[in-house]
Amino acid sequence: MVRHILEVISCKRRVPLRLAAAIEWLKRTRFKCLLVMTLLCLGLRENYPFSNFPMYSSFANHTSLLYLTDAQGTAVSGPTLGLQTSALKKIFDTQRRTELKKTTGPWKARVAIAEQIAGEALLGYLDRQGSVQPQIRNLLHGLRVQQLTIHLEGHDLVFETQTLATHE
Amino acid sequence: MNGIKSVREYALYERVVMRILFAWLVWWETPARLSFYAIPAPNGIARLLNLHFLLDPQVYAFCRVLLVIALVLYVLRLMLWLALPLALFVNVAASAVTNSQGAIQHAYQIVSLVLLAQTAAHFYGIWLRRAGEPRTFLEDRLVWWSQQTIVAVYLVAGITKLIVTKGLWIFQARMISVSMAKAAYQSFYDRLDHADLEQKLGMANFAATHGWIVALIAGCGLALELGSPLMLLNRSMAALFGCALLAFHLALDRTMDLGFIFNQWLLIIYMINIPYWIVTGARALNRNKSSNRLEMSA
Repeated sequence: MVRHILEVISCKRRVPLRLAAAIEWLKRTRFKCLLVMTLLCLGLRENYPFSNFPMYSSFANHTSLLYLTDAQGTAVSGPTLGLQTSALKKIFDTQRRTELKKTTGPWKARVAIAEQIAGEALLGYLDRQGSVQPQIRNLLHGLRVQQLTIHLEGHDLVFETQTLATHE
Repeated sequence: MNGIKSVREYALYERVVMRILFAWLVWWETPARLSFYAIPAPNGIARLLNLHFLLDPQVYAFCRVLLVIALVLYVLRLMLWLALPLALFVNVAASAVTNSQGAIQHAYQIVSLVLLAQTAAHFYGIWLRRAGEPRTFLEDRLVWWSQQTIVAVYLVAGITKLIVTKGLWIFQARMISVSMAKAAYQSFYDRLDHADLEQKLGMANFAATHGWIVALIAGCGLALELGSPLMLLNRSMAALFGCALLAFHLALDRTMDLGFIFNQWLLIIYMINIPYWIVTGARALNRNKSSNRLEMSA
């Protein structure tokens, strides 16, 4: 396949008729940038600067978010630790997915283990961030990762909170 | 050379305003600091290039100086062959590092993509000049490709919704109240503003009890995304759709804290194009006045 393409590029092989027609059409169209950008974004998905912009592309009747509290349970604003609350969840989810792939057994038990490890990994990330942002080091001791789960039951929103990890 | 003739032409004052505002937007969007200890989850260009050198504050400060120089050259339209790739590299590399922390954000891509499109348009234009294209088309194409890129972003977002939900996005959208409640709490834990939380939770509860009304509004948003290519038809459609999308962003900002401020500014700069409408309106007024004067004198 690669050799075939290289031969076409180096003019040793004729451009297939359909491909030639497509290139000719692309040359003539006014909207080549729209077409190329759309295909690149859909094809390359999440690869900066490209993206298929999947945010809010589907909705479920339940979701969750993470937030931080100090040892007394008082909420600590994410940006004071250098991270938006939405970023906490994304970092957590990346780690959670990795852990879920590693473990075997019943789904609920796997999820519980993966979420605990991901919560601890999130605290580890904040710990390492302390090395480049010294101002956050004092805030880390006793810090708790809390998970708020939101369900839609009928026409009512139901909220549940649980602690996933605590900074020692 | 049909393709060349079909590039819409812009007056000098429009191009200058666009250049200045876009340069300012690139400067604003490029992170001021990269306060990260590492690149734990490389994304995009960070997968291809080792960008750890940007984590050194001195190196990054130097890159920011280069970016300023590139943007000044861009505004003055000097050495674009250097200014555009340089600005593109600093912007994309820095934003890719930010997006390589395991948390992908979607606010910045549109600016980097427009910058990429402008760089590509410039070099494509240089190539076409060899075929006899007038020099004046060079910057018009930059604007035209920027508009197409903005449209592509909205179109892709719309198509993705249909792909992920197998076309059933509108039916799922009645559950948007869950996402609204999540956004309300995320905003609260960012700012710790209780009044704001209560207001936003009120809206989420309204959405929970009136799911189909919300789905209808969300459907309008999807229609705007999928219909965004209509913005490329003419200036009026660009302004009309641009204003509609801007209004939608402002509504989402109010209800779900999804401002997408860079999208808003790019719509204002390249689609709504306020200077053009001010000048066109002023000219129309002048014409009316002078025709009235002629009638009076007759």
